[in-house]
Formats: sequence, structure tokens, C-alpha cells
Amino acid sequence: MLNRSMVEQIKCRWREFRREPSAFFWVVFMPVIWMLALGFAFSKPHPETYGIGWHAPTKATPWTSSLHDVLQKDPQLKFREGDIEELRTRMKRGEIALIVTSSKDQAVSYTLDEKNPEAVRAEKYVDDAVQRFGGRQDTIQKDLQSIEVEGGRYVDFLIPGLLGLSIMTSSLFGVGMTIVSNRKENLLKRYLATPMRAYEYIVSHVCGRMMVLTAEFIAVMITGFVIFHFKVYGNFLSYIFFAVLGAAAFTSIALLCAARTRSIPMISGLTNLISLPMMMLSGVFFSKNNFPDWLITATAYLPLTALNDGLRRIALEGQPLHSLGFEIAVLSFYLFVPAIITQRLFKWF
Amino acid sequence: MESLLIARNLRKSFGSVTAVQDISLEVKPGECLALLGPNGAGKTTTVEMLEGLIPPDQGSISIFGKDLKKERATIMHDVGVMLQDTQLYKRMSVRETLSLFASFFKSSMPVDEAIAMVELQDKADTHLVKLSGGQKQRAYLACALVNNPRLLFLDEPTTGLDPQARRMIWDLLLKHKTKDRSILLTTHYMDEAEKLADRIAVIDHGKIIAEGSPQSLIETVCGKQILCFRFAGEQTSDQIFSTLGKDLPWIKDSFVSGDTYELVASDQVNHMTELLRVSDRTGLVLDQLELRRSTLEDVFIKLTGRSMRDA
Repeated sequence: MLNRSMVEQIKCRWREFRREPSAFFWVVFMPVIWMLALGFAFSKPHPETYGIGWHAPTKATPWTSSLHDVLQKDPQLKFREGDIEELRTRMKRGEIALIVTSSKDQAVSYTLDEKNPEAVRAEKYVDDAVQRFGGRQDTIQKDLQSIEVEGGRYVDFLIPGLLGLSIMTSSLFGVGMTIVSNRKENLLKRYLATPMRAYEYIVSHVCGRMMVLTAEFIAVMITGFVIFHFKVYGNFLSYIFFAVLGAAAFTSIALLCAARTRSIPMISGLTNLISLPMMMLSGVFFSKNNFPDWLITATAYLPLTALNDGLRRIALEGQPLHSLGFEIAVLSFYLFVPAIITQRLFKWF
Repeated sequence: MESLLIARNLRKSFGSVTAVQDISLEVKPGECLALLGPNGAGKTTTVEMLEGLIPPDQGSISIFGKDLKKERATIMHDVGVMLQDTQLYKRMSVRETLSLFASFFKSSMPVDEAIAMVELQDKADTHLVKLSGGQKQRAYLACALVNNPRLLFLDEPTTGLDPQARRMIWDLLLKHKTKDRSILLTTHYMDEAEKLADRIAVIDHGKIIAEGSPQSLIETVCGKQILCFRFAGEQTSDQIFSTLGKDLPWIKDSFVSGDTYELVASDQVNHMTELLRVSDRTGLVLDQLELRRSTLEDVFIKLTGRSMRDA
């Protein structure tokens, strides 16, 4: 299978990648930069803070002044004061989520948008502080035992997600753009005017993708291991298998996108259309547990979700491959179905 | 000697546009056949059918005695192709590009030999993006020659090149011809066809309208010489034709290009004398009057009534 022509084509794919400085940068350095930036930014999680506005329509009493001081000094509150119009404007800008109005002793009123989850949380937190200020006592004795869950840091969650994201973008953009640009420049037509077998060109792209995957895998994992002491609790070969399966699935999707497209803006738009929703919905940077149930179910069928979930379960939970049947099935679907359609649709020029 | 390429009654339409109406042609061993015609005449469609890139709607193609449709993969091992408007990998060197193309064929010449053949030894390790237009075209030609093809297809090989680069490509092709190899060339440059081709097929509107050696085409269609003349003053061609038409009925057969009239006719000396006499009598002043050698452009004008450049 690996004849001279195939070897030359694979060398050609590597040279294309290696000699395109921007491709090298996006694939190798971009995920590392993301990891460093986000990994350090969220390495010491701070408690959530809420922006609140203090509105006092009447002259302050000793009671309202004391409450004002308590809330102002709370480290979890970003405290603002002003008239009601100014505070409403700040609320529109997203600077505050809640307006606390105190006009007489022993009474406060809250103004908030109940559809805004942050505002609801802010109201709960502030009301708790207000009630304690008013003298409420907790009746149940509480004992807090702090433990550190293995693989439970944000950066542990982030690294497999970034690897998945990097695999998706490099496969979609790398393969899709290259094929469309080759078609546009009549290179595919030129190939067709030789005895080269069509499958060699496609297989060379798959092999080329695996070389790029090796580069991005090494970059992400070494940075993770060395700087963040990231650990893969499961089988490392299973972890590699999942990355390869993900790269193959996204390469197949890229081949389908590029099967007939002749224009670069078209392939670029198509690739963005596919990748942007997954970037947001497949739990790359943040857990998708806050999504509504129907959305969690729907996004489970996205290839990036399957890839990220699979990588995380192996790396963080130490799960074996046979327990990841759903994720493997989803990725296999995106590997085989687009490949079969591409075989029928592909045009050389 | 049996022809290397035989195409019969080729026809190709794209939607409602018929690009090739009915073309039959043959290329013999050691022969260079040029398909000459203006842009849009159907040359590229014809050659792409002959290369097996697009299937004809009708007709048959046989190359080296084999049916192109059935045995294309085998045939292409002995065929070289240089397409119009192709860009190979910009960031690969000449040597790397040739290694890639050489790898497609069962047998090919050593890459360095191919590089030497197109005289790019000093650019062998230069990336294609850094080559001039002419050097790039020579590299593409080397890709077409790397398998020592018995039949070479060249589609507009010198379009967009400066005169010196064109001449260099011609010299390389003439050298290739001496090895008894066949070439099918498409071009809209008369001088290119005249320089390289043993036989020319003039194509217009998807049909071959004349065929023969450059010299025989010129002599049979136009005669050896063309009468060229120009009048002083601002008269339009209609005014000239109405003034002279009565005494010189042949003047309406002239082809008008700007303010110059060109006449293809057999008895040029008589026409010249008549023109001098009648214009003198009618008060028209001749600014220019000459006989020049006929060219393939004149053949095209005579056959279609249009200049190749205007077609």
C-alpha cells in the first residue's frame, strides 16, 4: 500500500504543513497559549462575585447605614451607589445584577431580572447577608471538610478540551482549505492527468493529518504534563486512540465539506459554520452541565462533544475504552458517513 | 505508420452551450499537431477530452491503439500533460515537485536529468513561489516530460510569458521533438503554431475549419502574399468601398483593421496596379501600399472573416 507515489504525497503533505508558518503556529502554539492563559487565570478559583447597586431614597438611619456598611465591605460584592436611573443603566450594561433599596428600618427591596441566573444568585447571596445582619441564626451545626479531587482542577478539565478543539480546527481548516485551494489552482486536475490513483491523494491527507495530530498532541500534552502536572489516569494508549479517532472523524467531515467547493470564502464559511457552534456547545472551556437537559442530550451527538467527553473520561476518570461505546459510535458515524458521501460527491475540478 | 492518437467525431456540450461540435483528429508518431484557434474556440475542451479529464458526449478516442475510456490508467503512463493555468505547490522546490510527479509513473527519468533538460539546475532547490513566470513554466514542462512521454499534451504553454521565456520553451520543445516524440499543442499564438507544428488544425466554434501543414494552409487559403494598403484622410471604410467599389469590386473582400485594408487574393500585382490607377482617378491618396508574406492569422481571417485577436 505504501508505494513510492504514496510516500511522495505524504512527504508533500508534511512539507505543506511545515512550510506554512501560520499553520504551524495555529496548530502547535495556539492551544498551548490558550492553556497557559486559562490554566493560570483559573488555577486558584475565587468565589463568585456579584455586582450590586445600593439605592437609598430617604435619609439614612443608623440601621440602613449599618446595612450599607456590611454590604459594602463584603468581599464577594462589587458595591455601587447612585440614584435609581443611574443604577438601572449600570444594570443594562451588565455592571450590576441587583439593586438593593433600603428606605426604612427592618426592610429592603430587591430589583432584579429573574431570567438572569447571575441576578438570582446575587439576590440569594445578598438576602442571606441581609438576614444575618438582621439577626438570623443558623440552627444546624456545620462541619466543612475540604478535599482535592484527583483531576478535578479546572486545568485538568481544560487540557482534554483544548486537545479536542485543536484536533477539530486543524483537521477542518487544514484539510478543507488545502483541498479547495488545490482544486482552485487546477492542481487536482493536473493530478488527474497522471496515472496517480485517486485514493492515494485522499489517504495522503489522512496520513498528513496524523502527522499534524502528532505535533499538536505532543505540544498540548507536554505543556500539560510539565507546567500543570496534568495526569492521564486511564490508559494512555486509549487516550491516543481517541485522539486519532477524533482526528479521523474531523478529517472525514473536512473532506465532505471540500468535496465540491471551489471557493476559499465558501469553505471558510462552511468550516466556521460547523466549528463555531461546537466550540460553544461541546464543553471545550466550560462544563455543559448548566445547559438545559434537552441541549445536553442534543449536543452529545456532536463529534467534538464525543471527542472531549471521551478524552476526559479516559484522562480524568480513568475509564476503559469499552465503557465509551456511545462516544466511539458517534465519532465512528462522523468518520464513515461523510467518507462514503465524499466518495460519491468528490470532484477533481 | 499507425497514429498514436485517433479521435473520431468528438462532441461536448455544457448545458446549452456546445463547446465542441464535431472534431476528428489524428497525431502520428514524431508529429506535432497544433490546435489553433481563438480563446473560446473549443481547444481546451477538446484537449481535456483527449487527456481523459472530461468524457465526450459523443465520439471515440484511442491512444497507442487502446481505448482511452477503458484503459486510461495504462495509457497515462506514456502521456505527458501541461495544463493551462495550473499552480503546483508554491512552497516545494523544483526537485521535490519533480520527485512527486516522477513517483506517479511506472518509469521515469532521474529527477536531475529532467531538471537539466529544462535548464533549471541552478534553481533545483528553489521553491516554486520564488521562480519567474518562465522558470515556473519550464518546471511545469519538466513535470510533463519526466516520464519520457510518447505523447505530450501542451495547452497554451507560453501564455503570459515574455518573448524571451517563450522562445526558451519553444527551443526545449523543438529539442524534445527531435527524439521522435509526438506533441499535441493548443495555442492561440500564430507564431507558436508556425514554429512548432508540423500540422495545424484551425478550430473555430468547436469545429476544425482547416487542416494541413502551416505552409500548405497559408498557400492554399491565402496565397503567399497579402496586399496591404491605407488611405490618407478621414474616410470611413464604407465611404472608401462606395468610391472604389464600382471599378474595384474585389475591394469589398478586404479585411479592415483600424485604417488598414488587407486583401487576400491570387493576383496581387494586378490588384495593386488597379488600385493605384483607380485611387488616382478618384482623388484618393494612398498612404501605404505593400505586399507582405501571408501568415496563419490571414488564414484565420480568410476562413472566418474575423481576426484571431477579435474572435
